[in-house]
Amino acid sequence: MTRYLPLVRAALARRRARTVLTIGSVLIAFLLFALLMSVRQAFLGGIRAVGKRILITANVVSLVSPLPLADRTIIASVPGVRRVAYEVWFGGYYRRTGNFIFALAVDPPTFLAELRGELGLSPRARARWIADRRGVLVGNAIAQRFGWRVGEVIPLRSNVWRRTNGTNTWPVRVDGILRPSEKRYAQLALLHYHYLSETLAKNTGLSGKVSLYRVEIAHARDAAAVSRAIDARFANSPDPTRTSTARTFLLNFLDQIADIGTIVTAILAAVFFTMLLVTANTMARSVRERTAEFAVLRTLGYGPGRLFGLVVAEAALLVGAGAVLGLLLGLGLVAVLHGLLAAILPGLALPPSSFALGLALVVLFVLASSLVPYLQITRLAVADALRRE
Amino acid sequence: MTETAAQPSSEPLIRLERVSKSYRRGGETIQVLDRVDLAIPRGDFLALMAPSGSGKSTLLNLLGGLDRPDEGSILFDGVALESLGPRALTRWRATHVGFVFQLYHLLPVLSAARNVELPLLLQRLGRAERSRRVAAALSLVGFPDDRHTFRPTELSGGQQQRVAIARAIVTNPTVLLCDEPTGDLDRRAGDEILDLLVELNRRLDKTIVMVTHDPHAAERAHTLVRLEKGLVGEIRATSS
Amino acid sequence: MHVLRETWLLLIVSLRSLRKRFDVALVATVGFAGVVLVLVAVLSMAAGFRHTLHATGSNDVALVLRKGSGAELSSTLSLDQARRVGDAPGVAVGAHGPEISPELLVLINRRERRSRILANVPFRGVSASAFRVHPHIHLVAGHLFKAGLDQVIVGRAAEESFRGLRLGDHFTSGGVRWRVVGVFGDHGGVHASEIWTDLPTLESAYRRGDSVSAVYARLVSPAAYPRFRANLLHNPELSVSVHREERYYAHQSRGLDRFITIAGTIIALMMGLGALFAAANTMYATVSERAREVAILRTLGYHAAAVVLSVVAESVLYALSGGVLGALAAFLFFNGFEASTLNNFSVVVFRFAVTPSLAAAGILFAGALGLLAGLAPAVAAARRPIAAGIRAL
Repeated sequence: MTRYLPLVRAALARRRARTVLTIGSVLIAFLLFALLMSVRQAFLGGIRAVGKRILITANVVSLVSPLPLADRTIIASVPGVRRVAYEVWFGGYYRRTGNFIFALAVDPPTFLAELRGELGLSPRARARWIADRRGVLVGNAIAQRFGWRVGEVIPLRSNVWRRTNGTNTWPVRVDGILRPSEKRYAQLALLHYHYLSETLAKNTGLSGKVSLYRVEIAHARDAAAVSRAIDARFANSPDPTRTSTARTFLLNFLDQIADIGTIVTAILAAVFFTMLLVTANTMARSVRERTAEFAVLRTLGYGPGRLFGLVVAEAALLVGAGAVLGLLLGLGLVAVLHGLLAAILPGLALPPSSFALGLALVVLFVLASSLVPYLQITRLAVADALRRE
Repeated sequence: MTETAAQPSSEPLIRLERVSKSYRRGGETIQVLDRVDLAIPRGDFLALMAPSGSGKSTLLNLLGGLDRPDEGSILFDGVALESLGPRALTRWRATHVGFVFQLYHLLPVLSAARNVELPLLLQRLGRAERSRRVAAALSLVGFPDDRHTFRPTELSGGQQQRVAIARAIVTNPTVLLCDEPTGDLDRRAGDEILDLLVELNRRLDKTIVMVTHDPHAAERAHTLVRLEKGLVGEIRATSS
Repeated sequence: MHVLRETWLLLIVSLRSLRKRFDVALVATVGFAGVVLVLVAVLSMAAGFRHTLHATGSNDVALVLRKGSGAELSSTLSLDQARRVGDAPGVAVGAHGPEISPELLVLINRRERRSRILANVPFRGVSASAFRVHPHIHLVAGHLFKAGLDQVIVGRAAEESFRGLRLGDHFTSGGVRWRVVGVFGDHGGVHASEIWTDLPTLESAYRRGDSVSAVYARLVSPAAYPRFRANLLHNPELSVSVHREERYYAHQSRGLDRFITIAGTIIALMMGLGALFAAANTMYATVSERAREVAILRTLGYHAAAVVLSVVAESVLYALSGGVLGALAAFLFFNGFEASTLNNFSVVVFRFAVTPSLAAAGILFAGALGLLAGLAPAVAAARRPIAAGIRAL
């Protein structure tokens, strides 16, 4: 097919400004595509990585209502459950309430056992922290943000809890920095549950409680059955539970913030609809202008199929160039934004699946914008076209 | 190029049998060709002379398979063109017909050589073979070697028409259909193009059908056919 | 003056032949419409959220939280502490004593009607004084809850958005079967997303003892706030933070507002660039089709400047009509569109607000893009040699 390349190239060179502007429009569409897919990834990308064998058991009232710590042994006795970890929402901040820190008070051994390699924690730091009741593990994103180093003692404050001494400040020593592959954990800070519970003011009425349980099950396929079994155990207790997979739990929370998926799709639909119109119009005009040329080619023995092939190649070159440039530019921009927005929007990255989707969009674009030229070519009256010149 | 092909033989290359063609323009129907019978022998150089609107371009389009007759039959080497489907007709055109137009109809964005190469792209030929044939065709029509890469706009009318003729003969077609090939040229350039056509007819045995309204050009053909009001009028052999 | 008259004439002549270029003109217009639609829609989301939170607070009401708690949800005060707030100077005193409203806020899971998402719906326990401190809360259907009967009233937005919250419905939470006996409005404020009941009933249902989350206090005037605040902060028996209600809610909208506005602007700028390309394409096509006409007029003595101006004017015209279309579409599709998000873990239902100023901003943005898009083709048209133009056809 390469021998037709000069023909196709020549057609695109015919009106240089138009070609450049059309490629520009497609480029913008794919640049936005790259950006929005990255934003979507930042919000929803972590979901896929959430372990399928982790269930979350929370109070049926809402996720901010606590559960008794005593539930732990009951959950552990449910068939299919392998391990039970628990966590308490610490509501952490550093100095000002605006410096929010996603801090959890946990039981170190079980919590680490469940997340295993996902946290990117060195064995030494792990051992140090487990042994250090007043220790804290912090994600590299927050460590970087506040300039914390291992060994440093940080006055971590809580907007939820108060201490017996009347303050809301817990001095904690940084025992290790998490360098997780999963970007969500880069914002995490982990304290010892027992440090919190022992120093908690009695009048809070919340001692001996946890925010939620993280339940590891033996087989992912049992998730629904085990969830039902756990909830059944507590159905008639003062604190009934609602158990779901960690994925469902997280997805529901994100969905409450915003339906990012739908918003991204809607904007992209508007963008691509507009740009498709531009490309399709360019192709239609280009073919119409060359009606006589196509007629000449017909007299030289070019069939309609071959002429259409040339038009498709032309469209593919236009759209392909725009798409490749747009995606490349998008990759660069996402890399820059990733650095700039690390604190607000961690995990901003173009997911590999976008390239397949991008390719599908290119094919769709090419076919859609070749539709009018197809009609023009098949209905081309050669004799008339030559006379018109 | 056998002996028999060199002379007009008894079996004509092209035969039109009661060919009619009409167009609708506005509300009325215009009968352009009315039951035309015509036989064109192999190796002939035939000039079709007619006042404008008498259907000479229509006839040429029918001969080239660009258009289909309403009635009647066009036989090319024994094959009825109307029996061919669109695909077969396209293939037939690619192998048997070369077109030459009054306004050359070169693609302005391609160089002279690239224009000539266009029909060769449809065949399974290597790049080297294609450029060899392009060079041969261009030299055959007397196109200067140093201008192969020139764009049509950089060439004179006579040179553009030579490129167009080279493009028409590069696939070695059986018949050349020329629509006013000298219509846009001055007398001298026109004469050179006519010399070239005569040469192609004599030396390469190309059957040529040329539509013209110029008696001077028609003089150069073997056979002269006058079309009048959709009917074939006088047919005579010219002096040459 | 001449140039302007010539421009006008050139523009009219060009628009008369619009039918021939209808397709490109349409593409340019739709391009601009798309940009403005997305821009206005996204910004109207931010505006709607902002309006809801700004509509909530009033200037002469103070909000008292536990020190160190940024929000009601994480704040806990004892009823005793709450009563002391009423002793502070500056608190309005009515027929029933100081106008303070101790309130308890819990979150309960309710399914959203449309998305089936489990949402954190705020459930507020109040006493009779609440309706004096928040006079904008008004019943629109049914009647007020009666204490101790497990009755609730629900905000209008909550009634619409969540299952089981229609007037007469029952729902179970905290081991209690609640009955919806009334619906209230909040003049566009956040409380319309909430469920209200009487304070003791809520405290016992969720085993909160006699604690409350916050105390709202109506002050004698907005000017009384500093003294009220200073007094509470210096009271050694209290450990509280004090906020102006108006600012407290307005402040909460800032983060999301800023995020949406920045993101929306970036997207609109990029789409704008794409639309600019499309429009420039259109104008190049226009200019090349009208080459002969322009050349003839130039030989008659028309100025190059008039050619430039007429092309730019045409481009701006497409842009403005596209802008109007886009703003109109945004208004039709998105104005009043109901959405919800989380604010301090609590769901807030709000409506997209396509305001006149947003629509105007969108249309002006399109106009500016149209101006830019017309420039290069206009200059190209004016620079084209007259002779070449005449030969063109």
